[in-house]
Amino acid sequence: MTTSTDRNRSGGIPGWTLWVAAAVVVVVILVVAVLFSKDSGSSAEPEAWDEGAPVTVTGEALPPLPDDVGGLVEDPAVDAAIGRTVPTLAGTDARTGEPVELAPTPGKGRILLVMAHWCPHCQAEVPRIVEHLAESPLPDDVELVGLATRLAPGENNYPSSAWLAREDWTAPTLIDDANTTAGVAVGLSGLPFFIVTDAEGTVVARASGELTTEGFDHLVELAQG
Amino acid sequence: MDTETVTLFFALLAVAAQIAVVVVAACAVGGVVSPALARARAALVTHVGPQAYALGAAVAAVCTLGSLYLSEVADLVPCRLCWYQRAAMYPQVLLFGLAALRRSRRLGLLAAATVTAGGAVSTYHVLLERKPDLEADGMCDLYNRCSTILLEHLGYVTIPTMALSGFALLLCLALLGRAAAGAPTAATDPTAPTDPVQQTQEPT
Repeated sequence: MTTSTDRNRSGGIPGWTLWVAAAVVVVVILVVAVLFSKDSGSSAEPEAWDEGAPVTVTGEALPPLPDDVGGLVEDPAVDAAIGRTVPTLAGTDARTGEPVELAPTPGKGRILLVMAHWCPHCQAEVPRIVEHLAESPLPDDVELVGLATRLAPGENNYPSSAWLAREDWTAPTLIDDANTTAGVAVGLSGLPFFIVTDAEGTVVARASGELTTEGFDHLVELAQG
Repeated sequence: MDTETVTLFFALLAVAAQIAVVVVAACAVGGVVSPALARARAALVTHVGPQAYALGAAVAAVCTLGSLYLSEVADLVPCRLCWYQRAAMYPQVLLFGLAALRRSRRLGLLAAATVTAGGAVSTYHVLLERKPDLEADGMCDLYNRCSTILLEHLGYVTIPTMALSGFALLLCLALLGRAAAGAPTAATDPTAPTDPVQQTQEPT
């Protein structure tokens, strides 16, 4: 191996100067990182409930949507949850920290959107729905609710409270606990995830993955019965 | 030191690596048409080349320790593509170290080939972060979140971006090391070949 002495003798720069230069660069970068780290992070401070809050599940959990099934499923032969009653979920609202209960409202169909702050498809779906509903509001006999789940403190787009506020998401939205209790109760299999129930609280369809606005309108029709 | 500071430190190291790669690439490619850049390329081979393998071992060690910090300290769970990149990166410490000790062009070639493979995975991972539909059809997998941006600094430096920067720098160092290992007289003979493609003889 060529030594620094060899380098000097051959007219090149001493080998150790490269290492010193590299060390200086690393130290300068470290100092810059220490000085500026507070300015580079997320500006949103998490609320107390953003790491998860206790969830109460009343009723039988829905089975997961099979792994090989994607998109909208309305067929009970494919999705065993179709025709069953959706469990009632109670806990804390992801937006406000206030108590919230996601229970069937008599006479109203319901669309439950399950989302996660880190999921890029959820990040696309939420503003799409907000924008669509601004132009085409839900009919009186259908309501939209949310479930913020699979919480990952510190990861991308955290916390959920700031994300939903930024997107002007106004639907009541339960925040899950750290064990994804609510997500498991609705048979979560992918994100975003939709559970559509009719006016009796019976599951009429589930869907995993992003939807087009036309696809969302179809969910509204299904919820109306 | 908190996680935010450490990950910003890694991101800035990645930016430094990107700058170094651009400089080396500019000298390598521009040297074909520009005598000044050709001289700069020869100077790189002469002055950096003899240390390139050892520097590569250090870079690979930093990348390895960085990835272990992200998973074991920052609790960011590696996805499938992250594991492929780890498999390509971790052996580089040994590969570059051995190449430095033996001044071996063959080991340099092996290192160049494997970091290229790792860099290809990183490139796909970066694309997947920006275009999640490349892999999943509009849906996030609950347990394998390759398309998820776990952290991001400076508006573009994500974990796969850091890995890609590391692989690119290692490729430059492998090629520089090979060029220097194949041109033992380059320091004293300015007419000695400095382009790695011109050198085929394995030094003893």
